[in-house]
Amino acid sequence: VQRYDHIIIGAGICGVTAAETIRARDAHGSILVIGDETHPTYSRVMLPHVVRGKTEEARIFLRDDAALAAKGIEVRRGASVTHVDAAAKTVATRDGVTYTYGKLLIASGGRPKTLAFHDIDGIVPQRLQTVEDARAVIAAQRGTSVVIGAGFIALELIMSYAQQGSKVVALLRRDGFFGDALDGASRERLARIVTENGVELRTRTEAVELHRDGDDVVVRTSDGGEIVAQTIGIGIGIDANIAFLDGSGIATGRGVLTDEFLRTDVADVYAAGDVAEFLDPLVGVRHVVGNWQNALFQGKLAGENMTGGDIAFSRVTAYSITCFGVPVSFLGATDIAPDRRVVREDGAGTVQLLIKDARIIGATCIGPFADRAWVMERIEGRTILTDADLAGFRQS
Amino acid sequence: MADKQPLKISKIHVDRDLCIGAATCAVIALKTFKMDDENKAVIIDPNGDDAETILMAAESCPTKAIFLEDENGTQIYPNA
Repeated sequence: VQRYDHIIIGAGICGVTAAETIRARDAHGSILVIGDETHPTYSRVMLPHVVRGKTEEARIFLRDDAALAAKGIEVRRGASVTHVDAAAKTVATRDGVTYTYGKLLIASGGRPKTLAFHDIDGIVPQRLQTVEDARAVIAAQRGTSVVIGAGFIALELIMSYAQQGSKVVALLRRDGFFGDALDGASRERLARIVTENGVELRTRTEAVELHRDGDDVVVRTSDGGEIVAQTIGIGIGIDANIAFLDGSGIATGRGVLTDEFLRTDVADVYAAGDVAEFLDPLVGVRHVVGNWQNALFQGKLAGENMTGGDIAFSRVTAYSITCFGVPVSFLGATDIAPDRRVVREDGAGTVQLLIKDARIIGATCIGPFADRAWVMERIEGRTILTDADLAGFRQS
Repeated sequence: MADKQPLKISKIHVDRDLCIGAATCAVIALKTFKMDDENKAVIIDPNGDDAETILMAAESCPTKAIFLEDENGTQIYPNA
C-alpha cells in the first residue's frame, strides 16, 4: 500500500490547481493526482472552439505531466477510483491498487446526464464533455441535427451543428433556454437570437423515443411528432461523480457535502469543483456550481485549506458564452429561487437581477452587460438594496 | 523558485475571438484586466499587477486567450 500526504481524485483543472497550490505551500509533502481520462489535463471550455475550428485540438492541453512531475506532483491517468474508506484513509482504484492518504481532495467532477428512457435503439447522442466527444461532433453527419437540452452545452451544440450547415431542431422541455434561471423577457430575447439564426425551437417538447431507420435516426417527441435526423446531440446537465463514495463514510447529496471551507463531514477530506455541494456564504445555502471559474478557484482554496489555510469560499461565480455573436452572461447564483426579479430591457439587451432577502444573489444578461461591475460589487458585498435602488437600476 | 530569473512581461495581448468571458483573469490580476460590455477581457493597465500575478492570470484562462511576451518579443505564455 502506497502512502501519500495528499491524494486528489480528479485531474481536471480543479484537481491540478489544488495540487499546484499544495506544492507552492508545502515543498516536500507527497502528492498523487488520480484521473480517469488518459489525456493530459485539458480545457473542456475550449472544446466548442475546437469543434467550430477556432482553435486546434493540440492547443487545449493546459498542463504537461512532465512539468507536474518536475514539481513533485505524481499523476496517474486512466485510473478510476472505485472506493474510498474514510475511516481507514484509503483510496482504491479499479486495477486493484490501494493507496493511503494524509489528506484527500475529491475533485471528480461530473458526467453528462443521459436520457431517462430506454428506447434508444443503441443510439448514443453526441455530447460535448471530452476530446473524444468534440471529435465526434466535428465528424457529425450533416443534414438535420436534433439537440436535446436547454443549457450552455445545448447552445454550444446548436451553434456547432448550425455552423456545419445542418438544419437544427432544438427540443426544450420547458418554455425556453435555462429553465427558471431566466425571466420571460430574457428567455424571449435568447429564443429570438437562436431562431433568427435558422434554428427551430420546439418548447415544452421532449424526446420520448429514438430509433434507427437506415442511416437516419427518428426522434419521437412528446407531442406525438417525429423528426427524421442524421445527428442527435444532448446537453441536459451533469451529475456529480459520487458513486464511488458509496459506503465511504463521506456524506453526499447531489454532490459531496461540504462547509464553506470545502471540508466534508469527515476530517482531512475535502471536495471542490463540479462535484462539491458547498455551503455558499453569499446565498446561505448549499449548492453545486459547475463552471470553469468555480473549479479553478475552489481547487486553489482547497489546496490552501489542506495545507493549514482557514479561508471560507466566497466568490461571485461567472460564466458566459457568445451565442450567435451575442454575449450571454450569468453572474452569481442563478440556480436558487429568488424572491423577485428585476428586469431591464432595451434595444441592445435584457438584464435580470435575481433578488433574495433584498440582496442581489445573481444576474443574467442577454446582450452587452454594461452594469457587470456594478452588479458584481453588490452580490459580493451582499448589499441591501431598497426599492428606490432597484427602480434606479431599471431606469439607468 | 529563488534561483530563477525574475519574470518580465513586456507585452500582453488578449485574443477577443478566443475570450469567452470566464473572467478568471479579472479576478486574479484585477488591476491589469477587466471585463468589457461584451464580456471580453481588456487590459486596463499592463503594469497593474506584478509579472507572476499576470502569468497566473494568463494560465487561469480556459481558452488560452491571453498571450504574454518578454522584452525580446519571445512568447512566454502559452508555450508554443
